[in-house]
Amino acid sequence: MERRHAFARALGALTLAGAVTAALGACGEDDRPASWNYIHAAIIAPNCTTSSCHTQENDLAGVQLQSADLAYSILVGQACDVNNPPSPAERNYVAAGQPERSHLMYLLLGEEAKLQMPPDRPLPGGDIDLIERWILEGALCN
Amino acid sequence: MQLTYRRIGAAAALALALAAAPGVADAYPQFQLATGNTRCSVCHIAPAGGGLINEYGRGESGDTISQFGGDGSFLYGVYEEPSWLKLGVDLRGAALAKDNSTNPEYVLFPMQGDTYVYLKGGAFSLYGVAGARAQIRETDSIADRFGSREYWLMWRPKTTGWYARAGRFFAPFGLRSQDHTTYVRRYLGLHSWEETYNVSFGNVSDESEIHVTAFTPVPYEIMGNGPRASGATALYEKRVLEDKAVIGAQVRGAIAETDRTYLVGGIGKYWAESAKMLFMGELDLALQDFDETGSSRPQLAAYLSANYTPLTGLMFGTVLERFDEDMSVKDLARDAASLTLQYFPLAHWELMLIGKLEFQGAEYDSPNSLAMFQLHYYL
Repeated sequence: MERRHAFARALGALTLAGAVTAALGACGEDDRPASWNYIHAAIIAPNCTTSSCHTQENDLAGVQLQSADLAYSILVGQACDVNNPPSPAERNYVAAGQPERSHLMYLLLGEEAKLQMPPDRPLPGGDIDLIERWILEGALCN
Repeated sequence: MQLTYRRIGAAAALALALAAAPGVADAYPQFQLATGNTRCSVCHIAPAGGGLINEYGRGESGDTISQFGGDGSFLYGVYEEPSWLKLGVDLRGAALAKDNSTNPEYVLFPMQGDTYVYLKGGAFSLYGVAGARAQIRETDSIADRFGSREYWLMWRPKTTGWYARAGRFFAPFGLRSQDHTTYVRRYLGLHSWEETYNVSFGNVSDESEIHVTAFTPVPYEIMGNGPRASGATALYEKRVLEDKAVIGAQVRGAIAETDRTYLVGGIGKYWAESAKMLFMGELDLALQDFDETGSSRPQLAAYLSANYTPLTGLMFGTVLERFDEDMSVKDLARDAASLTLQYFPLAHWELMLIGKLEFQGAEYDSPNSLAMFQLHYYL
């Protein structure tokens, strides 16, 4: 009987923890920083460099995204340098200041591209909005 | 540009295949308790389960798991391994259909082709698995097509009691599902091919088990993937209710160059024998700190499943999942609902059907859908 109580208590604690976190969470506006360092660590790395995708080893489509500096240079087309913002005329995955001309946006949205990235599970809209905001603000390596 | 699209297409097909592939012959947590076995290492060689099965597990695959039985022995018993050697082969093919809101995808691919070798001498043993990676794209290097997710050295005087292990393997955490696409694996740094280099010790008994592991990423030049973080993790599991249930807890701390992640979670399993139902759940809460921006985010990953076994060899399952990458921001959570059908007609054979709907943010009216068929054979 004591064992049953212990099990019930544990289940109850788990359920309660889940309910509390669900209730507390998911209620705020998006005030995350539209900075490259945050976007790389919070969105690009966990979604694009896991398992067998855009890592140094796998190098899918010639794109390596595992380090913030390397990912920036591949996506934006120039080395990471906060004092030297990218030119909006560059034709890379990202055109600074111009999300509508940035191929990355089409890949993330799955629009006018033959595929959507990431192919297993698209990014949440909020993450795509944050990346768009970063591009609009100049796609700085900040 | 056309070439770029072709390369991207090939890359996407590969990533899709790998990311959606729910099996690389790891542990099937559905079998714990439901087959009358209390711990994963009753059937598996590894102390926390997963990978190559032992002689008892091979016997169970015919006697307990498959509808029409059969000889589960290596090579059907034609070749009997010496006591110091265990061998195994896992082959798995899959067909996948996926509707990703824009373009439907159809992929037929070889998912797995692994060979296992286990050598044992006294209290020490060596374990290794190597095989083909499901590469669809063109590659310049043959090394891209083959790999080894696990290779380790273990000290274990008996199958129960204390052990120590060093090498590359899945650092024990959570339910340890064979489905590496579950949110509690995919989004917590435990995806397939993300196995870390570990030094681990633990104690396993019929009543409980504990596994403590220090981990660091595999160097890129060998076979590195996944989060570039080092840290430690621990898992404790206890059998309760006369071995009809399992409760457990896990913690993990991971330090990377740009961030630190702290995880705490719990697991539970309950086998309702009269109803032939196995319930499993996992809940993990994480806090990730980012150095450069000084920001942090609380995360949640949850898994809940029920498996019904109406007759030996047949298993229906339903799974609900949630991953919230930042609970302080609304509409970033992902949810998934799956139905599975697993059929084990004979020892060595498994057929699996999966249907999955995934929802994210506020877009509940336009889920992504996935259907997959797998044919699994092991020698």
